[in-house]
Amino acid sequence: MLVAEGLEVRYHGGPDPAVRGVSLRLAPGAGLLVCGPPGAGKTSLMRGLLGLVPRGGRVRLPAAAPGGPGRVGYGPQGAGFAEGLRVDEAARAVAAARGVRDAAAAGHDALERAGLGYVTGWRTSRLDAEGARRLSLALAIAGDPDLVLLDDPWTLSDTLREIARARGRGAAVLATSTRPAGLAPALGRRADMVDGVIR
Amino acid sequence: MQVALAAGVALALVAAAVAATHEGLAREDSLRRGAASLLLLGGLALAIALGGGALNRDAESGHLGLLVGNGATRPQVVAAAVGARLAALAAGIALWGLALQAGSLALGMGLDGPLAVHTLAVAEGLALTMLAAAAASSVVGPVAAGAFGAVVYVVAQAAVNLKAAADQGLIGTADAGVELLYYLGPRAITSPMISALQARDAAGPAAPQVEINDNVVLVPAAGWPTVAWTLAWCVLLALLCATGLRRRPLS
Repeated sequence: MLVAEGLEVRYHGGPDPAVRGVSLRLAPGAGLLVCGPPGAGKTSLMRGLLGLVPRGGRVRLPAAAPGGPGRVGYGPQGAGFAEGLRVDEAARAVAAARGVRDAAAAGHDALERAGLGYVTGWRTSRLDAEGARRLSLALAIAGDPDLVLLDDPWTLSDTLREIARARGRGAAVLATSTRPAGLAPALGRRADMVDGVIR
Repeated sequence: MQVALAAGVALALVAAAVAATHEGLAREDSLRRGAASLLLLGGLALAIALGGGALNRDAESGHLGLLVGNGATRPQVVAAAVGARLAALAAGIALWGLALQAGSLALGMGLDGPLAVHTLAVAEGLALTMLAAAAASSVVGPVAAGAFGAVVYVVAQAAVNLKAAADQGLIGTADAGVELLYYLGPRAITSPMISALQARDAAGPAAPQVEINDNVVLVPAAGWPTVAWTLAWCVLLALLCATGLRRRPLS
């Protein structure tokens, strides 16, 4: 499902890598929570896995079936990731990028499950911090991908339910957080990250 | 974007109103001079604003990272971002062009064919500027990318003006350098309308008369090879947009 071996992320050729020699293996239905203080490299780990930043090592993600939907769902941290869009436009765009056949329906379903069904017409800039975290969750689960990556999700009942639901249908779930809170039991396994290294 | 488009339409109406104060050829010149100024200066502002922030803002905000992380390829997001801006630029210029044609009709001059051709010529130059800024926006911030787009336009215009001067024997020993710039660099498209206005020193700020040592440089209208050459440069810059984003870290 997800295999990373010796993953290294280094920004702008700097001397100290943000992520060093990380190896991960997630089987179908497995979960993993990566915990660490701010600056530990959790987000860089996510971005490295997804190929958003230059990386070293070897990464294997679930491959999309020919003509089928993409199999990785990514919910980024922060709030600016869908700037300038309406909530339903963001969900539809992500589902479309993933190759889901009926992107609008998949996006709407994901927004309902993430508790944003009543604000689908809002501009994303109107969402508060919790709304942004719910939108991130919705974007990660739209179209029910085989691998769900959640960067800094909030411990909401909807989050815990969707993690359980994803694992229940055989998807692997990887989440990062500064505090384990209630996420660790939902994900089953926990690893600590410090200075770019998973211990 | 909406504000810029509305401002352009308002300025087109102003150009028509100013032209209405003249009669005969002076009226036609006035409308065309105002149209050329609006299309060039307003269009450049629009092209630079659109191109300068084409990729860098979305790459920083996490929007491109969101799309790529969820399965879109980098060439796909570049095509969508740059294509949408190119379409917006084309729509803006078309809207202003229609407003100017409406002005011409209202002044009793009928539809202005040379002005329509000029609008297309300017649109190609603006597409070149926007794509240059967009290509730069894959690696630098909005201000620097916009400045790069403006410089590319100035270089393209300089290549054409200097080549015309060289052909008239006004450059002297720098002929080889001018030929190199003209045959390798991008070129601005000079329409027959603006060429004629410039020759009579009636083109206004869009095309002031060029002089070298008190000799007037007559810039001829561009031929089809120049139109094709500039289009090729547009394609090259579009490819550079994708190349620039290929290894850029996305938030």
